[in-house]
Formats: sequence, structure tokens, C-alpha cells
Amino acid sequence: MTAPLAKPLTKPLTKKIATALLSLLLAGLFFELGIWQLHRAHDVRAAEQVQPEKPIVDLTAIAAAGANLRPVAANRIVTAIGKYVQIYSAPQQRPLLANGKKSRRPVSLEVRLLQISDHRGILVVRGLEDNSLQTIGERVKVTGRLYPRQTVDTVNPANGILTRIDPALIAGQTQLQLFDGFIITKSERTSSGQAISDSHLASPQLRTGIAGYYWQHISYVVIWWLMALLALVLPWISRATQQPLPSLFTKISANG
Amino acid sequence: MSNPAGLEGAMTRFRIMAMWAGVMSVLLWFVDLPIKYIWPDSTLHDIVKWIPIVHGFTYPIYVLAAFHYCIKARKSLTTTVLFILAGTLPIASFIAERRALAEFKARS
Repeated sequence: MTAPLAKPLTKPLTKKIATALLSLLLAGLFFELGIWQLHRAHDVRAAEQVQPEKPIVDLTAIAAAGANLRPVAANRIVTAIGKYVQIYSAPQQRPLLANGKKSRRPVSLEVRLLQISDHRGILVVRGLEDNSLQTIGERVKVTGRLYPRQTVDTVNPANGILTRIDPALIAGQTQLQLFDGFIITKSERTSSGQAISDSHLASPQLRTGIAGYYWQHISYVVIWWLMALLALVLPWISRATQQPLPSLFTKISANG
Repeated sequence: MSNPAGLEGAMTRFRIMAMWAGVMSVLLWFVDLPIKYIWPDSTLHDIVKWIPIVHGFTYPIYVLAAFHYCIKARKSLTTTVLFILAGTLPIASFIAERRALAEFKARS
């Protein structure tokens, strides 16, 4: 007698448990997605804030030639003393403006290879390229911000042209061991302390590129958490109100 | 056969939000996203940055309106979920709005 009753009772119970588990799983997933968006919102806000400048440091104290630039070294203002040994042009560059945004107008930049010691060197962006390339034969002390190497070409390869500011492009042309990244000068002085050039590019801190805006991510937090709430209540509310009205097709056929 | 109490109001709110969500989705998919990914450094992106933010904050209102309408119209769970998701695609919310209106008229 009990066997025929057991089946119809078990089936709805199993279905309810499965629905509850699925509902909890989805709610948990949506809640976590909301948390993820919340973290992204915080990351965006943190990336937008200018970090306090750290003390100026010697390049060799925070970076090593032939090694990848460490994240803690990028954005630091460094000094390097050496001699310019090679001149390059980096056309179609859109340097950063003081507000941290890229310039809209592409320009050609003058880039030089600074030999720091007998066997090490780093690329230095001196400023906008002009036709009268200054001859600098003596040792110079360069102070500037250290940036990570560029990864996207701006022009097609040509002789004396840097398609992007990346020491890897000149690694085969020099015996020097190169530092990763490049410096944009803030000042250049001779060993006697005389300034070589007064016109330098803006060299603001490079900000992390995180897609989206703070309030956009916050809105996604609201959406995901609302979805989590709906995932919890929808199956039960839907079931409770599930007394279908005559469907559209029934009505149409009745009228027809 | 008459519609249940409150269905007309729920449907009107749903229709307004469906049209709003549709317009915002069109702007998001065909204006904001192409500008963001085709010209990532363009100043154009600063001009259209309000689109994802407005879309993001009004979509929950659409979700609530769709949910309320589906409960009032006694829609199935699957249909309710589809109505809610319709707000994320450019054309789907317009289709949902047309369908809701057609059903409402047929019941009146």
C-alpha cells in the first residue's frame, strides 16, 4: 500500500531540494560576481589616485640591466650618470600630458642611448625631436621618471627609427647590457652642474589601465546582488503564483 | 476575460522600462563599446562614458519592473528569466514589450 504513495511524495521533494540547491548556487555565484565588481570599483578608484612620490633613487639601486623591470621600479624618479652614445627617433608617439592622459597629436621624440658604465645602458627620452640634434659629448646626469617599455609599434620599421620605445629593439645593435624600460628626462646636467636642456616632456605617473569607471562597476554590483536576491526568491514566488491565465493563443482561438 | 488587478499598471511600468532599457542597450552595444574597443584612447570615450553608468543603474529598475509584471501576469519561471534577461540585449526588450502588450490586449 505504501509503495505507490512513496513515488509521488519523493518526486516533488527531490525537485524542491534540487531547486533550492540550484537557487543557492546561482545566488552564491551572483553574489561573488558582485564582490568581484566591487573590487574592480575599488581598483579603479585606487588607480585614479596619484601616489605620493618616493625619494629620487639611483637607477642601479632599483633596476638591473638585462632583467625585467620590477613593478616597484616603474614610475620611480631615478638618476643615471653616463654618456649618450646613440641617437634614435621615435615617430608617431603620443606622450602623456601632465594630467596623465595621452596627447591627441602624434609627435616624434628624440631618444638616446645612455651608456651608464662600460657595459650597461638605458634608453632616455629627451623630448620632442627637432632638426638640430644637440651634440652632447660629455658625461651627463639624467634625472627622470622610469617607465616600462612600450609594447605597441607606432610606425613601420626603418633605419634609426624606434617603432616603439623598447630596448629589445636595439639589443642586437649594441654591446651594452640594457636596462628594461626607459627614462623620460626631468633634468639633464653636465658633471659641472650646468643644465643641458630646459624643455622636457611631461612625465606624470603612469596609471594602471583598468577598464570602466567607478560608478559603472558599482552599478554592476547592484545588478549582481539584485540577481542573487531574485535567484533566491524567484523559484518560490513563481511557483506560488503559478495559476496560469488563459494564454494568448487560447484567447485568440476563442475570438477567432 | 478581464485582467487581474494591478496588471495594467505593472505592464505600463514594464513597457516604459523595456523601451528605456532597449534604447540604453542599443547605445551601449553600438556606441559605447565600439568607441571603447576600436578607439580606446579617443576623447570620444569621455563623451560617451555616461552610457554604461546610466545603463547600469537603470537596468535594476527594468529587472524589478519585469519581475513585477511577470508575477502579475503569472508567467512561468522560464519566461520570467527570459523577460529579465531581455534587458541586456539591444532588441530583445523591445520584443518583450511588444509581446506583453499583445497579450494584454488579447486578454482585455
